[in-house]
Amino acid sequence: MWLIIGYGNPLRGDDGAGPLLAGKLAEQLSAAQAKIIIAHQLTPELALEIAAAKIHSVLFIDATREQSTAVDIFPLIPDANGSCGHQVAPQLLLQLAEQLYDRAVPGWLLTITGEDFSFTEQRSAAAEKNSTAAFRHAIEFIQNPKILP
Amino acid sequence: MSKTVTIEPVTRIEGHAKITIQLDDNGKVADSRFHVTEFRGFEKFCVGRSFWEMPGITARICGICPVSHLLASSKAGDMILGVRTPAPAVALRRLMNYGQLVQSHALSFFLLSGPDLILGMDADPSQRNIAGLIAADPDLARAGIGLRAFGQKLIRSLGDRSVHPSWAVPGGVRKSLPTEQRDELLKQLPAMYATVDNALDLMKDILDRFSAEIDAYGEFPSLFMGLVAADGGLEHYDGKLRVIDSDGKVLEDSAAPESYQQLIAEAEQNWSYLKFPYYKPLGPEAGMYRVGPLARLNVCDFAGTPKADRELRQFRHYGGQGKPVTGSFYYHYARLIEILFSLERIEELLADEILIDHHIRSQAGVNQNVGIGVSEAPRGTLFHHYRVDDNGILEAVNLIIATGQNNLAMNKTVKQLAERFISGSKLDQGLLNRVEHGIRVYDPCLSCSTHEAGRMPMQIKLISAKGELLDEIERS
Repeated sequence: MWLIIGYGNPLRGDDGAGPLLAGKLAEQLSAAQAKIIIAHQLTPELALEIAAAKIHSVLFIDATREQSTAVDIFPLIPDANGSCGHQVAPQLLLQLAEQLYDRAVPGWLLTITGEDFSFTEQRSAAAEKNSTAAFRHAIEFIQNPKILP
Repeated sequence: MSKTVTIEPVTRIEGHAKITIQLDDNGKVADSRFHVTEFRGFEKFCVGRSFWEMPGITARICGICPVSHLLASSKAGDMILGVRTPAPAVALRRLMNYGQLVQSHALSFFLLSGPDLILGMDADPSQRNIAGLIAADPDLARAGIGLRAFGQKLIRSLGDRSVHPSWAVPGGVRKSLPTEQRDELLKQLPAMYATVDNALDLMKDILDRFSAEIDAYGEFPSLFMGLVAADGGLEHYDGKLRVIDSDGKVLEDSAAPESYQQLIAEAEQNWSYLKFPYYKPLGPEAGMYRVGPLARLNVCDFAGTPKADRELRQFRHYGGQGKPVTGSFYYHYARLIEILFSLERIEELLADEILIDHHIRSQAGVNQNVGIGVSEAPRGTLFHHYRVDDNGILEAVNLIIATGQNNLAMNKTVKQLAERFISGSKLDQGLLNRVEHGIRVYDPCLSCSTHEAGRMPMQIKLISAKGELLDEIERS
C-alpha cells in the first residue's frame, strides 16, 4: 500500500496545494491502494506511519516556488542530517523509519509550483492549473512508479 | 578591551532569537541579553473579531501547543457566556491537555535536548543532532517518537487532527471520544509507562554525569508560579494560582486566575519583542518568577497520582528540606515526571464513564463583557484575557504566554552560563552549545510568546567595549 502525505498550510495560499491534492487523491484511490495523511507540517512521529508493515512506498506532496516546471516528482534519499524538532524533512522521516524501525521504504517527493504564499485560503490560478496536472501525474505515478513525468 | 559575544540563531527551540554577551575591559562578562527577534501581533489583529472565533484563531499561534491556546481561549469564552461548562466537556478538555503535555515534553526531552544530554555539550556539532542521537542511543530516539505519537494520537482522536484541532469551543467541546479510540489508547498505555520509566532512570544518570556543571544552568533564587488544585495537588487545567519564593514561603495562595493583573505586570525592553512579566508586588527585579514543569512541581503540595508522587519525592531531594528545586536544569527531570503524571491521569479519565456522557456543550450568548481563561501549557501558565462588546466583538486582547514569563530567568541563565564558561576573546562550540542549552532547558516557544511562527537559529557575537566585533559564531 502507498502512503501519501500531503503537507502545508491551507491558510497560506498556494502552500495548501499539498493537502488539497492529497484530499483529491483520497477520493480517487481506494483504501486498499493508499493511506492518505494530510498534515500541517511533517513531524517526527510520521516515521511510525512510514514503518508500518503494509506500506511499500511513500509519496510526499508539497508546494514550492523554487522550480522551473509546474510539477516535479523525484526520489528521496534518506538523510539523518536534517534537524529533528518541531518539523522535519521527508528525507529524515525515511531515515528514521529505516534506522529506528528497520523499514527501508522508497520515498518520492511530488512538488507543485505555486506563486502566492500570502495569508489567503485561495489558491492562485497558476497553482490551481499546476495542481490539476499534479493530480494526473500522481495517479499515473502511483499506477507505475517507473514512469516519471 | 571589552567585547560582545552574539549567538544567533539559537537552535533546537521554537522561534527566532539571538544572544549577546558584553565583556568588559578585563574580559569579564558585563552583561548578556536573550533577544527575541520576531513579531506577529495577534493581540492587535484579533481586535474586531468575534470571541467565538478565538479558539480557532489563537490555536494557530503555535503548531506545537495549539491545544493550550484552544483551551485557554475556550475558557475565556466560557466566562463571557457565563455558563457552567458540562463536566464531561471539562473531562475531555483535561484529557486533550494531558495528551499535549505528553507529546510536547517528549519532543523537548528526547529529541531537542537528547543530543546534548546523551552526546555531551562538547560533542562535535556535526554529530550533536538526531543522527548522532540515533547512532548513540536509538532506543531513546524511539522512546521520544513513541511518546510523541501517543500524545498526538490522543489529540487527534478528540480533535480530528493533532496540529491546530478546532474542537474546544466556548461552553464546551464539539465531540466526545469514540469508544474504539478510547480502547486503542488504553492498550498503548503499558508501553508508554515503560518508556517513561526508562527515561527516568536515564535522567538520574544524566544528573550524575552533569553534576559538575548543573549549577551553571540557571541555579539561582527566584519565585515560582503555577496553578494548584483546590487540595494543593498538581494541576494543569483549572485551580488557583500559587506563588512561592525560593525558600518555599507561599506569597500567594488560592489566588483566582481572573485576578492575575494584581499579581503580574509586564515590562518591556527595546532590544526584544518578548515582554518581561514579573510578580507585581515585588517589582521587576525581586519579582522574577519561573513557570512551567519545574515551577508546577515546586508549587504543588503533591502530584496526586501514585507513580508521579513517588517520583516527586525523589525530585524534591534536589531542593533541600522544604525548599523548592531552584536549578533550571531540573526542568528536564520535571518534564519526565509530568509525562508520568499525565499518563496516570489519562488512564483514570479513559476509564471514567463520564466520557460517554453526551452533554458536552452549554449554549448561551454574551452574558459578560470580560473573559479570562487560564490553563497550564507545557511551558507554563497561559493567560487569555478578552474584552468584548455586547455582540461579542473583541475590543481588547491580552495574551500572557509561559515563555514570556520565563524571560527574566532565561536572561539570568544566559548570564550565569557566560560568567562560568567564557574566558578570553575566542568562542568555541562547547560554549555556544552550553549557552544555547541554558535556553533550551526552558523549552521556550517564541512563536507563542511573541505570537510568531518560525525557527530559532542562533548567533553569538563577541563585541569589545568600543563596539568592535571580536568574534562571531552563527548557526542556521
